[in-house]
Amino acid sequence: MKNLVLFLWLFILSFTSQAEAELTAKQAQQILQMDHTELQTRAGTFEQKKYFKVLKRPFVSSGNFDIKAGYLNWQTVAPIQSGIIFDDGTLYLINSKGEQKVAPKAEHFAHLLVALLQGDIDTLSRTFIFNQQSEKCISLLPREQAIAQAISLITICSQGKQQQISLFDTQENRTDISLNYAL
Amino acid sequence: MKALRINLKILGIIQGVLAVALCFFVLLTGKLNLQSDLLSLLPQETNSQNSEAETHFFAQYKNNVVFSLTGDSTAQSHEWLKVKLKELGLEFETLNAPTLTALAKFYSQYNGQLLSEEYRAQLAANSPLSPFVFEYLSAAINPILDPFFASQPTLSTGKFVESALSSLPGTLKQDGEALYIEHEKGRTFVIVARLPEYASNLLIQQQLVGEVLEVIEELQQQHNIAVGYSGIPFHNVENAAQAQTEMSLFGSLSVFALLLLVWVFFRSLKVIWSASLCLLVAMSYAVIAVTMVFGSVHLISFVFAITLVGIAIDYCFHVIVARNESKSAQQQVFRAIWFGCISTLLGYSAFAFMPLVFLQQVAVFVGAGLIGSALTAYSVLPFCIGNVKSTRLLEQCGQNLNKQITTLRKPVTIAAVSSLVLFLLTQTPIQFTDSLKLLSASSAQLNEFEAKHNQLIYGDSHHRILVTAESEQLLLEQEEQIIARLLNNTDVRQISALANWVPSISIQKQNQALLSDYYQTADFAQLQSYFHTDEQSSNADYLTLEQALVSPIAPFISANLMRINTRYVSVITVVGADAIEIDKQLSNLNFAYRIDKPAQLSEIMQHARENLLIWLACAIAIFSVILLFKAGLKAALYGGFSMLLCCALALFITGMLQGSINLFNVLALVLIFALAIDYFVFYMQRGLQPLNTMAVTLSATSSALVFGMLIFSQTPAIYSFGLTVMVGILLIYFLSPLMSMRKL
Repeated sequence: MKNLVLFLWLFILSFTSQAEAELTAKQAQQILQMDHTELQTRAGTFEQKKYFKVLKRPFVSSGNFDIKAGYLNWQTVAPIQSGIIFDDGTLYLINSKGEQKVAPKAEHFAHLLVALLQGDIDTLSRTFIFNQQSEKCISLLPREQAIAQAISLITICSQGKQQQISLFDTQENRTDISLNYAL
Repeated sequence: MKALRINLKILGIIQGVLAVALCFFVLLTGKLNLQSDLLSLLPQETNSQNSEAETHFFAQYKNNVVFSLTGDSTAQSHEWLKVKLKELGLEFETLNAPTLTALAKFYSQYNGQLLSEEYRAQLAANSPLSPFVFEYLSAAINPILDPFFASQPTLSTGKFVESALSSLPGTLKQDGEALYIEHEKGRTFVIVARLPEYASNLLIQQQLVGEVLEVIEELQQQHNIAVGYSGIPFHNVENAAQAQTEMSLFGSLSVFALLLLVWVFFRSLKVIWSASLCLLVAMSYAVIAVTMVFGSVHLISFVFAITLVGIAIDYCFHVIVARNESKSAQQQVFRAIWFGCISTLLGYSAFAFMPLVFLQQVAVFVGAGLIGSALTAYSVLPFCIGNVKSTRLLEQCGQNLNKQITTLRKPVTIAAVSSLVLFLLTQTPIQFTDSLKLLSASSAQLNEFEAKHNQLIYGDSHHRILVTAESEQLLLEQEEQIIARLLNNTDVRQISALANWVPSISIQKQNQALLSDYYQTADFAQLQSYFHTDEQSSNADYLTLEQALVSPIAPFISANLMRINTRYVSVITVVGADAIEIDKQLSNLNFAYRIDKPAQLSEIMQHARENLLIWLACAIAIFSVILLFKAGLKAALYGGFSMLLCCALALFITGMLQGSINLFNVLALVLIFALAIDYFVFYMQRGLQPLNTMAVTLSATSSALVFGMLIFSQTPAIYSFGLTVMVGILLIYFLSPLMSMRKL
């Protein structure tokens, strides 16, 4: 009987815990100490590490970025020159030969990527459910099936001018992006 | 003799009663199907195999409809509209696109055999693939390639699928199940739906489309939103409504005008009743004939066929006018009626050889109706009308007209000839325009929506290429040949073909060889050092269309692949390239051609028009020769010249009024020729007798009235036909008395 009561108590608590953990966009911004207006025009450097199960070791790439309202320029410098430009609703890919072309059928993810990098919590709140993961970190769970097929979870941690974004896909692969915003 | 006349009367009554009873039976039991489908108006083509393939391809879209929403709160309005449309029974065109995981699982079976153009070019040039892999790994996320990376780190299969996905035609973006396009003012949402199969019936389609339009109206009233709609069902319903309105309006106005004409000159209810009976029997014959021969009739045929009323009543006029004359005079009239009936039948028989099925329906309808009218006028009418009251009014009018005719004969002839010379000097060469638009009465708004949705869905102009082959593999190889030509020699932006999803086995073998060679290179060894997975040459079976059609990629290919008898047919969609450039690349390929339905149909109509003109010239020549033998050289010259003059002037005048001439103007000339023979024969047989002149005048007036009503039609083909016949009848009326001096 005692065990049953305990079980019911924990069961009810789990719901209230979940309800409490789900954050509003404002709460998420406060945890991350992010000012969306400031982040709208920013530049800096990044380092990306891909932890794919099929890779023997993490694949490391680095480069720089430039963000303005409705615009993103993401240039990878090492180990290979390539880039992404998002301008006025269209995503362009730049290959190692410097050739630029429109990205095929990936616009929805492009919007998400730009919103992530800009710290546009309001836009992200329409697509993701926010939960607090730790004092300075939040997790994002996709609301839509179309997104969930590619991204199972995103975590964002913020400290001053540094930010760490981790993307987890459905194959349990992880991509870590460390952003350093220039002063 | 009396017994013979009574027998004739009884037979006439029996045929009339039977015809009317059968007609009511046909109409009440729904044996005659009414069509308004625009696709069924398309001319028949000589290459029946390609025509069958095109018909099959376009038929898939005959129930498709598209809606666009622009304005405020489009997202909510879009959802609301979808719910309402679903309640009405519409089905939504979701592609049932497979997930990327399903695609990866399917295509991974064929790893090592599939390469994108980019990869093939890279490997053929012995260039490394590692930059592509490193570019992928440097991107934060690539949802298309991610599922493929685990099974094949060189991404050769993933890049192939990425390339295939990018070849899918269309500029619309997708957000969940919603399709949209972004612009500076926000988003325009697009809904692609399909009417249910049971809505192919005209009445059901009309009701359903009406309900859809009410829903759209409600949405636009509640929100600040503009909703566009397009699709063949909307065109069908609009054209049907227009045809039904015109049919009722022209039909009832024609009958009213004719009966009024009868009343003005005869002032006898018996005569009106008799004329109505004649028309009723004529229409009954017409309906029965078209039901027996075709089973269905297009609404546009009915609008053309209303003209039966104007011609059928001519026989009534001649019989009624001659009722008080001598027996021999009446016999002359009957002979002239039969001769006229035959000549008009011959004229309408030209319609039966037209490539447009609805014209064949018109020919059968009018031909049968004229036979019914002639039979009734011959057998029953004289007994119905009894003795006609004093025809003094008619005789007085006839005498006055004869005086005018005699006085004006020379001036009219000189004016006609001068006009012709003037036209020849100023209006040649005549502009000819034949297009499918002549048959459409769709509103400007609907045509505008159609153009807008084409632009929204496809962006740039797009073209379709039909490819045929005796086997699946040959079909794929031919597609690959066409794709290579277009990529190398045109500004094509996008090509959507079966071969994008299923390369031919010969290409798969080439890919296998290229990859096998690549696996021996240092670049591959460097890549391999990053991965746990040991990528190797493939031993799998080759991918075939048969396998693809039962796989997750079936939705991408099944709509563009057909099997017709022993042949395989596919359709390639090309975006961005010019039609002339495409035709140039296909010019020496006998297995493919660019589908350009409007141009093909215009060409068919143009050939029909040219053949008709030749037919007409021959007919006038034969008519002149007959006159030569029957009535001498002068009669032949007058007759032939009048006919030629009338046809030429009718063409020039209508060309001047319309801006150009089309097939339906020339069809009208055929009818003018037939009616002209009627008038010529009556004048040659009975000369300028006042009652004869009045009978011809009443015939011409009734025909001009009925055909003249067609110029108010919203369908360009009907307008052209009516205009030319009306002008031609007026010309023939003034020129035919020239024949009154020449007796048969």
